[in-house]
Amino acid sequence: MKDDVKKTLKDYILREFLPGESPDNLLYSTQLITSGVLDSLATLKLVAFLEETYGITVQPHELESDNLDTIDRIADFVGSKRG
Amino acid sequence: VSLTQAIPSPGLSTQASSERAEISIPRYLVIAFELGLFLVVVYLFNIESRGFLHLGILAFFGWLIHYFLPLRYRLPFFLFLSLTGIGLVFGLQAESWSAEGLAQAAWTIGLGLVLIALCHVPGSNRVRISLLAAVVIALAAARAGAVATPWSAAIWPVLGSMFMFRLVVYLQQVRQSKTPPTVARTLSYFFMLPNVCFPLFPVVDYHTFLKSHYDSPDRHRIYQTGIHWLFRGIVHLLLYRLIYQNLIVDASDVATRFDLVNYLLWPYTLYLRVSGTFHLIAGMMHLFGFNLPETHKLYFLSSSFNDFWRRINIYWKDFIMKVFYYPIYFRLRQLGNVAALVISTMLAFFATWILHGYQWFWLRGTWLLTWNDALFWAILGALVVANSLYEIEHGRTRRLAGTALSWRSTLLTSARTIGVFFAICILWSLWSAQSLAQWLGAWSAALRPSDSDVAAAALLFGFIAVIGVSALVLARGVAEPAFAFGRSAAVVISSAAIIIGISFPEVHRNLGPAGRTVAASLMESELNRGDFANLERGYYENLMDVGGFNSELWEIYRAKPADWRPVSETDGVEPIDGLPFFSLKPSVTFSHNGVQVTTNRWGMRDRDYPKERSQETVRVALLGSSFVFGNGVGDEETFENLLEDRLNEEAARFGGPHYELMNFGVGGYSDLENLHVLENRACGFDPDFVFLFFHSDTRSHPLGKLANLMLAGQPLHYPFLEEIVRRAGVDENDVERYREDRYALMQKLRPYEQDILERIYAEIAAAARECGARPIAVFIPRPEKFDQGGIPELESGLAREAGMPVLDLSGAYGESDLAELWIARWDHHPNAAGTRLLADRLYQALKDSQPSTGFQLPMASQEQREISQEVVRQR
Repeated sequence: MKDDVKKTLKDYILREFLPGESPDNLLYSTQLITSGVLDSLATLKLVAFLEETYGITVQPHELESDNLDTIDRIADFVGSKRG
Repeated sequence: VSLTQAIPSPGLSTQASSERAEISIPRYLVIAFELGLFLVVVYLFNIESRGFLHLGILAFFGWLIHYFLPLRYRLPFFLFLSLTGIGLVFGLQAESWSAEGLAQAAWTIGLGLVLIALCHVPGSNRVRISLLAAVVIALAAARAGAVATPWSAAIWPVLGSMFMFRLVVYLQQVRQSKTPPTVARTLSYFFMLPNVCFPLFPVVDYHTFLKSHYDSPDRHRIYQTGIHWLFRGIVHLLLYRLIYQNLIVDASDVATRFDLVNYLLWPYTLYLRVSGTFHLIAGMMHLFGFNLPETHKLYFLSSSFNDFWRRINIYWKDFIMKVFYYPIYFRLRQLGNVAALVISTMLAFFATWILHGYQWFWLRGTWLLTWNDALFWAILGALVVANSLYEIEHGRTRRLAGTALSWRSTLLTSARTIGVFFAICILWSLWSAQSLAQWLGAWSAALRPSDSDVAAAALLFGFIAVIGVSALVLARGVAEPAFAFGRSAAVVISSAAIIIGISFPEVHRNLGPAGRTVAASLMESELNRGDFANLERGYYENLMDVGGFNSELWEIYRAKPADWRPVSETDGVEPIDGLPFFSLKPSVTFSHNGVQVTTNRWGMRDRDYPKERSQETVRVALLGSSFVFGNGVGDEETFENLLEDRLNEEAARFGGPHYELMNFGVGGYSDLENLHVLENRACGFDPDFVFLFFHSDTRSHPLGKLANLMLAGQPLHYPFLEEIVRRAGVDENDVERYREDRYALMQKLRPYEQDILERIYAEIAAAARECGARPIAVFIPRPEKFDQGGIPELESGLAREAGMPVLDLSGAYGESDLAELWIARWDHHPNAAGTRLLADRLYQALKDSQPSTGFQLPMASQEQREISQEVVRQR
């Protein structure tokens, strides 16, 4: 289940934010916020995607690198929100 | 709650924790050596302040111990160092301990503890916020001077910088966090070590602060990164000095296109001062295990306005995003993505503007409300909104670290980076300007071709080349090499060796003239000529506000006590409609800038004298401004009193007349008031001599006073002023308009600055002769490097043309350290040691020039006496 989330997230990030990037370069542990891939606009777009796809509600204070900096962390975050 | 409770190590394995504890004596020695070099550089180049050097020494010895402590003791030890640092910086003044300073440190910590305690009052969050709000309002009233406090104003900037933003972050995150705060964590967060030296402090995020503590398995990497950042900060600060001392052009000096390019491009680079100090702060935090993220990231290479906002002052951006942008966006998103984004972005920039004023309030005691500050944030906000809408529509080229853009994208990114750089430069120059008219006025130089156009083009091309090529390299994905301890240490040590080498006079001598100028400006930590003129102007034109961004003047004004003011704003003067605007009240004693000022029955800051001059008395009327008045020195320490005492003592010993030096000088008077005072007051005392004192910046002051007369609708008193106003083409209707824009009126009158001075000197000379006195002009250098180049030709030439002998007091301060002669860092009038040197130099000048002035000294030879008598006879 978690792997499915990760794969979906990776596809989404490559499609929306990194078009043309080789999938091999984007690892589940690649830092997204620190490297500038997830800026504020991209973060809001990603949040909308997460809420729509997984039926969760994200709070403003949850937009932390702890939750969103890597695909691994995003998947964990989604998992924790879905209980 | 235990003080030594270790911070849970988020994301760290036990193995990593054990690796953290690894001790490597060779690396320990290398880091200690690098830190020692850092302290040498701070000392040699007088980086920031003496307090920072003391704090650096504390950090050095603290780190030597910290390194060997078990992890659980490191945070409490950091707290111990932080509190000690506050005591050290407040308590150690002029290399000796001050009980008063230590008391201020105790107040700082005590007030801080009260604020922190209020964050933990049992009850609901609403109760805590209400209590905090009540206390903060009370403190704000005290900060504004409405309430007297037992602590000194010196603690406000420090206390303000520790709590003004971090309280908000702390309250918000403690509420949301699952981990309870500990005493050590909380106190370390608020009192963190470098803060006491840097009131302009990055808004460190509480969660990041905790999370980053020893979050790397290799703690030597954290320390070495810190050292690296400390030196990077030094490089930023030295580059800043180079630009600040040599390349900044004042708006009033913009005459050619080359000046205009300089005026527009360099102010933005002065931001190196902020990024430099933030590197010092973050670097020092690394030494104690806080692996904080970068505070700035290649902000000169921003490829869009959004990118600029992301790269410059990253901690501030994160704070605004977390506290304002995201919460507002989430509340509004039912309006649709675009509407929510536009409103939340504009409100985020509005909050930035307001908080900029709020920050200014805690640091300075007054709210910053300037047109250019508002305009700057409004324009930047609008640009970021437009940029965001464009990115929503067209997307943004992103890439993973280390990967390259295509050549087409690279060239486009490079071109955009150049465009953004120039746009920010122009916006920044507007922010730094003192008025919109001043800024727009500078642009008129673009219409004037001159010989320097080639230089202007070369400078522009130079900027384009440097920014363009750097952006190109960045876009091609030239990644930073992976961290290597040895390489980093080698870079640091070689950089330190070069920087220290520059400080040696033996090296200076072999650098050639340009190299010597560069080296001298790297060592220079004082105001440049333009800012000094602005500081001076405060005394004469009451322009005490500084532009939106001027860190040097801002620092000076921040340090200045709130009750430090011109004499015109004290209760020792009475206002007058028209010239001379105000005069000293007779027979009063009042406090002014830390000293007592006593006036005689005639309203002079002087001893009492009879109205009638006796036959055996040589009477001198001294005309001038604050330097003659004796701003900041005691009644008996003015140079005219010191000289009068000397003359009378020598006269008593060797025989000679009695001397009466009458001080008609008043702080804030220009030569226009001096002329008025001579005609209406000084001549009534039947002086034998009139001494008119000038320094190298007095020439522009009458212009400002003429403008004040016009704007107040007062008569101009002198036909020559009316004639100049007519020639300048200013009529009464214009005056109405200029009330809103004094600068524009000044610009109209400025071409006549020399004419005004010429006429005033002629009038002063004529008025002195008419009342039977011999006029003498005296150049009095300020204890300021700009005044040590000799007597200004314009004033001395005009004085001679008017028939006044000129005395030159150049060299009065000898080899003294000029800063040691200031009454305060924010006020460069000479202190008692300075006025004594001036008195001695004036005595010597009178002695040397006796044949031309006819001023008889007590020790004069028979021949000199005869010359004097002849001069007096002729008169």
